Amino acid sequence: MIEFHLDGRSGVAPYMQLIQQVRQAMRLGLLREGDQLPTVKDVVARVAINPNTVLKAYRELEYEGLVSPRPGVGTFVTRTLADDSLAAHGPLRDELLAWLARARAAGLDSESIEALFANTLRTPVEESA
Amino acid sequence: MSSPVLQAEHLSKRYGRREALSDCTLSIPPGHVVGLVGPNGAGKTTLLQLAVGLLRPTAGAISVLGGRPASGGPQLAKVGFVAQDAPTYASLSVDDHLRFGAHTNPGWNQQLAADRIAQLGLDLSQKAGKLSGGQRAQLSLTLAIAKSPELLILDEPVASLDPLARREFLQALMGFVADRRASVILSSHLVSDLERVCDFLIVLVASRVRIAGEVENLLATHYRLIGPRRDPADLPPGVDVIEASYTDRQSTLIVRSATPIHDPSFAVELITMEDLVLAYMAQATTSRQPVLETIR
Amino acid sequence: MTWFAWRQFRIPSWITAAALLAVAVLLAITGHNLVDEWNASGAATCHGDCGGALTTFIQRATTGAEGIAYQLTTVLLYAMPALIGIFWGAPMLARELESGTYRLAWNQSITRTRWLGTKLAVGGAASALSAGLLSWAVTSWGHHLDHARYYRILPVMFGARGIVPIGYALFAFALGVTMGMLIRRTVPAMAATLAIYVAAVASMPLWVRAHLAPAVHGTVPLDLSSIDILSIGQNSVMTVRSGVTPSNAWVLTNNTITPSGKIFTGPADPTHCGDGGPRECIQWLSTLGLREQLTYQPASHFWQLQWIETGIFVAAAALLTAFCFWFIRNRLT
Repeated sequence: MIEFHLDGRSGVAPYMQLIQQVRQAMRLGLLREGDQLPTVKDVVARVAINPNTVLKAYRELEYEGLVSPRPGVGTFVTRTLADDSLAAHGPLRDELLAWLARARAAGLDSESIEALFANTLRTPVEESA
Repeated sequence: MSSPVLQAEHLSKRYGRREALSDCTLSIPPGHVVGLVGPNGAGKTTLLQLAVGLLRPTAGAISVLGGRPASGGPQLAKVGFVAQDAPTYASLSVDDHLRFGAHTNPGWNQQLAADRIAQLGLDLSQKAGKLSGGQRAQLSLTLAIAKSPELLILDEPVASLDPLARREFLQALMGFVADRRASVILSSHLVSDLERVCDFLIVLVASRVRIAGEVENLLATHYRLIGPRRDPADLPPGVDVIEASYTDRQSTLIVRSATPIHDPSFAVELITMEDLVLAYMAQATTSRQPVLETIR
Repeated sequence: MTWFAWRQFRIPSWITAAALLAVAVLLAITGHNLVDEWNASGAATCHGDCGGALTTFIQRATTGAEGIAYQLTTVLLYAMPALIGIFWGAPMLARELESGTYRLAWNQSITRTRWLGTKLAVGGAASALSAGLLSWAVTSWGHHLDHARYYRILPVMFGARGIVPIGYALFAFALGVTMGMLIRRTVPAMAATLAIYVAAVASMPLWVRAHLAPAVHGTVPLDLSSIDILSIGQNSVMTVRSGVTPSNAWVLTNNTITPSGKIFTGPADPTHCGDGGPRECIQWLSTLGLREQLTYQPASHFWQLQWIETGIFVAAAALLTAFCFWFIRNRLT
């Protein structure tokens, strides 16, 4: 079962953060079809947020078709977001580790690496072609 | 529209010449975690004590869950209260406190109380005076919850707690809300205490309610406008300025507007709950006119 | 709530029980001796003039442990209501208000009046019971000594016998609770309770008690075999008072009057009441036909006075209690 956390300073609304964390877990294959999401009570007992926030997030996920509630039992994942690209995660991760090693050897610190990556990610695809 | 958990009309409380609460009119819908925020001395404790019947109004009326506060056993049973600094009987043990609750509340849930105490790891024979601040707060919360109230009122429950105790207290409180679908009103002089948990906000400054409403609505209808220095009267109608600050070139305005603002000369931003509260506090100190608006 | 009221009262009730037990032991031990001495002195079997037997009894009974016990228990009976007021009554509300625990107590599912009523009932019952037990024990124990020497109807003894201590205790308790509620601080409430209690109890023999039952008026020929006062002041003004008074009575006024009914003030006859001894003066006085005019409460009025005085204090306690209920509902906000 996944565990939620809240970043109070990210500027993103709490319910949105929950939704993003569910989607991310699904993408990474940590949440698969049929898995149960933590109950509202479990979430707030860990994260100390308003239960309505959790309800709102779960409702939104249901609206997107990602989860579905089973009355009296809980909320369950109905789809997988992880597609074939999941298979490519392994090799991609290895390449990333190698690249990171080279970047550090070249003298970049974590901040510079993050900046480089963020900048490149935002650059339109045409430019880098 | 279900009946409000708290309804106040022109509620005032005066001590001699000092008005602790002035002309307060509020209607709080059920099913919310309500944050009552304001600086020290604003009247938060007064309002909460009026709601539980520890105080009597000097003017106006207040009804809680449809009844007059403390008007009898059944009314008292519906409202759980944890006063400031979580008062307990220092020379009595944890178990004595639980028995006190059991003997004086028909709706007492002994199983729930015992489970919570066990979960908290409290020693039943420990005298309440020997507990830490966080443990006393948790004990008081247990006593308030175990009588199975429909409304829980907490006066600055986490003000004197360390961050860990604070987190644990809020976790316990939210667990209770999720379980029982009860309404909660908690007060604090720090917005950061309330941000995570509240979905309804009341700002109380200098004995008057400045603004009250659902957090989602409030945050969606308040903006920060940054632009060249301009006369606030220039703004389109329906836009109320709450707080304004100027440099010689620039205006920064916190405004409320029912409709989105499309003014190209201004940069429009949404604001945080903290910004909102600070803006109303600033408004209170600069203006003498009471301003009460309720947004649903 | 009854359970909780007792739980809060636990320590004071243990202390009181222990103290009462100690007193009971003391009385049991000394009581034996008193009975022995009573029989030995012959007072038990004497009829008519028992002066000699009683004197013997008094001599034996006021020495040693019995004497100490006699004085101690009398003091204890006066002190007990005061202690009840100070240590049971005053803190009852003051401590809750001072420490803020009332904010916890008044949020449970019972009204303030029921909360107060339960605590008052528990404390009041305990007060009446402890004072009653102690007074019953001491009154029975000291029965002979009281009869022989200190006449229960006299002011010194009256408040430490019979049922009056119960009235004092209930009054002191209610007073303490009221002071605690009005002053809201424990120590000042204790002080106020003590001051008012002492004033109330002291005012009884001074001004009130004498009027609670019709005093007996009597006029008898002046008996100069025992003289209380014989003085000659300026201008030959005399004051004479006989020491012969009805036994076991509380004398309120004792005047020496002339045959015409006015208070005798002399003038002193210089030939008889000059520099010679008093005997000649007394001889001369006895020829003047003086009489002794008395107003007194006889021993037979003891129980009547007891009931009335107890009634007064119980009524005062009831008034204070009613005030407390009214105040806690309407004003203590």
